[in-house]
Amino acid sequence: MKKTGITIWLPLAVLFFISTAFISFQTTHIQNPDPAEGFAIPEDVNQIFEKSCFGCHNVEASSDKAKKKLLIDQLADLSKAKLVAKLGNIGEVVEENEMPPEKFLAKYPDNALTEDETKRLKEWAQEAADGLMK
Amino acid sequence: MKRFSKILLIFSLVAFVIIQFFPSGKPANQPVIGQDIFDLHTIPTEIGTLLKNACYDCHSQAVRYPWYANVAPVSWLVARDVNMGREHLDFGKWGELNKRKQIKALSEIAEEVEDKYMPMQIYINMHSEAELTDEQREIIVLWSEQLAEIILEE
Repeated sequence: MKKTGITIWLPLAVLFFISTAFISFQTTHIQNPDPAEGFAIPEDVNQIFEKSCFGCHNVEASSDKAKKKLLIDQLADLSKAKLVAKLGNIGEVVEENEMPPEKFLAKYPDNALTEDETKRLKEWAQEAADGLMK
Repeated sequence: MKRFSKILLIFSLVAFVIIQFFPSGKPANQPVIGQDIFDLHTIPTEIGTLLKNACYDCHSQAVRYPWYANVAPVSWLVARDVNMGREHLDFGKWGELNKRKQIKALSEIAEEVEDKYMPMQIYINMHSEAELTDEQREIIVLWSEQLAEIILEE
């Protein structure tokens, strides 16, 4: 009786796990229909990010709020549309001096963006978004 | 004390009448055919109803002003909300945005609705039909993500 139970349940359990994996693969595929393959951040832009943004906007950072808004190290994993939106946000917040936030700058004044850095980030964000729209 | 209350009441009434003469700055609807998001995309009926009930009274050129929107000081608050709402997002002028800005706007819609920043609680208090369930919020988020993908591929 016990043996029969195993012969029935074991294949069923295996089937269940296989189908779960398949469903989760499908879901991921739907959520991220067209990842922005080949997206790369130029070195000079990366340096600006490292200096003024990366501290809060990376997967290991402590602020959930900052992480929810932007994860620089996971930009390339976004779908093209989400990446276009994110690049638009980056351009907007640096242009309007919303980022880096005042609190951060009070503590780390040397990490403020210079005018040239703001301009470069804005230009890059726009060019990269335009490139994805083609 | 009784006299003081009477004076206060009269003063309040006079002030109430006087403030009615100050313009509210309530913006008029100026719809342009072919520019509204409904003119430019096929919006599923369910989403359409949610957008009209929960968003269009501040974020469109089809604002339905209730009677009390003509009475100061409420009219001032309504005017401020509609002006600010349209500044952030105007579904009635959707066609004026380039594709990049439309995609960004859709991402912001998803974020605001998911995080329950929108619709504003004060609006929901006065318009129960604008209250969104978690499920309705989720379908707005999904719709905005899907429309962004469609716009990108157009």
